[in-house]
Amino acid sequence: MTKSALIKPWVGSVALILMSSLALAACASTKTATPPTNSTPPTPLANNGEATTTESATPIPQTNVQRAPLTPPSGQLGAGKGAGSSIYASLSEAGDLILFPTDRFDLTDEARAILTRQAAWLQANSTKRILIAGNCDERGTREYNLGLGARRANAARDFLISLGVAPSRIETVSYGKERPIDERSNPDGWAINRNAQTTLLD
Amino acid sequence: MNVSFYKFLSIKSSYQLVTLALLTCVALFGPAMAQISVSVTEGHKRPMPLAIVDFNGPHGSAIAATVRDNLDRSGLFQVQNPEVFLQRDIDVNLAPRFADWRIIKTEALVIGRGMVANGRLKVEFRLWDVYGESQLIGLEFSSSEENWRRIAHKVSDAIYRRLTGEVGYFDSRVVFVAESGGKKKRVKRLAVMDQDGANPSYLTDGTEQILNPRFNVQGQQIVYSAMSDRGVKIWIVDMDSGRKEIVSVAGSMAFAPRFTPDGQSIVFSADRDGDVDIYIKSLRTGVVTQLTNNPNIDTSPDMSPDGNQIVFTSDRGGSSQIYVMNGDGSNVRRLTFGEGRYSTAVWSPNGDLIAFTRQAEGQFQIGVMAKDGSGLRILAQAYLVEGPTWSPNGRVIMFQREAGPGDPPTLWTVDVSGTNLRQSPWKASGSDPGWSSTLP
Repeated sequence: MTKSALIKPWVGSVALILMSSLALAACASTKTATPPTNSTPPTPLANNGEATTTESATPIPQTNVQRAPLTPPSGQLGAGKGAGSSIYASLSEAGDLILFPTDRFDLTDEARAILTRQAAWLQANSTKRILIAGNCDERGTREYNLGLGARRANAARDFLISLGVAPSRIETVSYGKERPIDERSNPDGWAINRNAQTTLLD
Repeated sequence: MNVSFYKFLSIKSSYQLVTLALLTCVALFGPAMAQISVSVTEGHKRPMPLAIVDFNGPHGSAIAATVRDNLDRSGLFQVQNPEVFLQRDIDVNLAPRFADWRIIKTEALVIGRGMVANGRLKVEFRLWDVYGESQLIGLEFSSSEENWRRIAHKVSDAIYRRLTGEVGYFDSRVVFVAESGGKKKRVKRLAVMDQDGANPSYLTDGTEQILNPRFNVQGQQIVYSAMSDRGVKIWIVDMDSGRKEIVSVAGSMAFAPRFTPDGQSIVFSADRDGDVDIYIKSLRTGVVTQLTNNPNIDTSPDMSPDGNQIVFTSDRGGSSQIYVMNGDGSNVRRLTFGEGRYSTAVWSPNGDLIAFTRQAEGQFQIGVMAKDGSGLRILAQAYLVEGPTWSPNGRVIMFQREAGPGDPPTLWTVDVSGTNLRQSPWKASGSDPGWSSTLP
């Protein structure tokens, strides 16, 4: 993959944009797909280490191509370390949606993996603040679900804090069952709607 | 503090007083013999045949139609079709020909008339016992002319009370959430209507999603929670002025608010770092007191009419169940056991029963039980039913219902006896009904 450093800079930029689009598309698809299983979390794209700059992932203006040396790739970019530069171009690439079983708010292994990636991204983007919204399926009463959503959001928050994210950077909210992201009134839809979703505040 | 005036002129006018006067008895007839009566608990088994003649004068037929609709919806009366009447155009101050009414098997007969003078509408009516040939009620109501529906509700309440022995509930209002739009972008506006679906008006513009509004006992204020992207806040709207005021509570999540019976405080739930507990806030002093303190979800508090106890929903036992505690948070007891998950408990107006939502076997149910948890009965069941609220006389429960998966929420009523399940005359999407006391 060091070959990419030899390619003309504009090609690299296009590649980066393409990869970002792919990452966004991949993320969008997870929202409507069936819930992830407990298989190993997807490994990051292999060429991200080279493509990521040391700064945040702001879009690069196409009319203003700049040339800069890449930072040395780290061999220790395993999930959960969180220190140093993030390996994710965006929060959504790190994963912004974790799912919960019926009537539960404890974190699954899959949810912990996604939150670990979120923490890594947040460590690398230290000015960013996030909102975690807890959501529930429609198979509960309104006020209880507001409480359950609050517990889901706070379970995610507590885990991020345990990984070193400052509490002041995290806000939580519960939407209960009021803001489903999947319209289906069936077990597949309910599974998607039992979630905690992370969005950027600033 | 925000102030807005969505359609409050119409609300205010509907709150104008309806005055009452006793009609002098028609001289010929003596005091009521009071043999005629309807049992509210058994009424569904034999609804009483009742005839209501179109009232004479201004708004007369509309008032009579409204009274018919009210009494018919109660399920306690067989309200007769005016087409079968042999005697029509009866002067309210003359005795009816009872034989004409016995032929069509009427047991009770209502005759009335409206008169307008100086913009005020005066309505007189008499209720007759057809077989006893005696007057049961003679009353006169007056109010501004546009208030004719409230007069009709007062007439309905008077008839209901005289024939059942129980206080009526027709002159009351329902606050609810009017819903529109798809599931992902649902618009939820605060709305209020008469109990029969008439005179609907919206009190919020739909920017925020409104949840679980409730009247205070006095009927002058509504407390509700409003959801925005960043949290859920509790608001109070004053019905006379239209003024909205936030009830400030620490944190981003304050919800499930209800007035205490004295109207001076609000019990509610708040989230403090994932710990959802029940609090009470005095509206006079602003003092907030925490009533529950455990790591589980405690929500949907409702204070008993005597102010001594609070019923609430908690999952401290592993699943959502109904508990009751003293007004200061002490002496917590669990009321529901066995299969199913229970929530949204509400006291009946006289404090003897508690209505609730139950989830079991993939369905939702509305039920009632005694205040000690005994005598549990299920009244209604569907894909989703939730949020029971009591009619002011405790005979009827209104709730939100979704017939099947994906169906819109609508408002339904069921008699506390478990009979007379029917959709509210408000047919559009609605949720979270809160029934007022009877209006003064």
